[in-house]
Amino acid sequence: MEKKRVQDGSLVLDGLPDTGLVGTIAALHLVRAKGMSPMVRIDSDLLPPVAIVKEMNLFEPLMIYSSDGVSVIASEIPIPTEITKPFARELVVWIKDHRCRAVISIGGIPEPARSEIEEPEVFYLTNSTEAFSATIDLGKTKQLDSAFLVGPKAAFLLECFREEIPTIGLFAQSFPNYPDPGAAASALTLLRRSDVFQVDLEELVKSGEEMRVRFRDLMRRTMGEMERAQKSREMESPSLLV
Amino acid sequence: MSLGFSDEFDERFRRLILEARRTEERMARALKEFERSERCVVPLHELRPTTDGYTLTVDLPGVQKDEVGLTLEGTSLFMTAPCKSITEKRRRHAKELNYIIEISLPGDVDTKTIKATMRNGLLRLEMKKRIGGYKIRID
Repeated sequence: MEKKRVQDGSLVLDGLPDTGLVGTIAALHLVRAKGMSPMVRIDSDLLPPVAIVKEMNLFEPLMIYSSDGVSVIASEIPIPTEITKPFARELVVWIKDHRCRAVISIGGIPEPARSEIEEPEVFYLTNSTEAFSATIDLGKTKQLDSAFLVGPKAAFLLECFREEIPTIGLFAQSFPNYPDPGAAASALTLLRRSDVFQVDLEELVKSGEEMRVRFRDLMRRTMGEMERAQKSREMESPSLLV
Repeated sequence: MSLGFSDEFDERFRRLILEARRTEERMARALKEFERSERCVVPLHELRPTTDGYTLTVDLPGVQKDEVGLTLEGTSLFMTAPCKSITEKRRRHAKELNYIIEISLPGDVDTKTIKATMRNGLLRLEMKKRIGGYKIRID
């Protein structure tokens, strides 16, 4: 359901709940900092009957926020494992319908020793480095060479790659099961080359403690979905494609 | 592509998922009811096995080490700390919130060896297993 037509050719940022809620926290920070408005309400018979109440308004828990040529996919609920694939396909239909120019998916990569790491490292995975040269500073960033990805981001990235949409996944080392604003800040740092992503990251770090408390319920629910999706595979190594 | 499972299998699988979701929902409700009745916040925590014991972490954003109360009764670990990281708007509705959690430690933990550290609001307890049994020689 589109309240206003999102302008064609926008850059899509995926902030769906996943490991450490890294993408969700990054997306929320961007939405707040840029004062983005909800433009698209995502609904499906397959989603749980949840509505968000805010200032005498009702909202779907899944929305696309948009402004300045950037569209941010954000969710108040984890994507149920059973609908992950059809959901990813529908998102890509929307992306193609709006001729979006590229997709940036921000996520976490589980790091059991995360508490020992001051600045989480970010790894990337892309099908087109040229498409992001003006947006992302990949200078010292390492490629995500060999790993399992599991969950809504895995389904979404697969679908984007399959449809040959210029796509990049940015994965910051993250607490597996705790909301991780520090990892979100590390991922957003890479995007600062572009004006549209110039946001105050100190503010994100400062509000990190509050975010960790506020996001704990979503983290618990997301953990439940992650277990159903065999999320622990992300700590394993693939053996076939070596 | 269909994997060709029978309708009966599909139905059983669907029921299993539904039951798992109900159980999860009951637990989530119990947790929120506890938080509301006790006016507290139950922090996220994780217990992981290590080679010689366990590591327990508890996410306590905004808490300093001297604010944490930790007591152990048998294998029940009780932890309390002030929760200061709630926005002022929310705080008005929920004054003096505390983090509270009670965790049952595995029965083989040597409780005399527990070491606790605190860093960036993350409480970490390293616990060793009690040494028991005997070494088997390989011929």
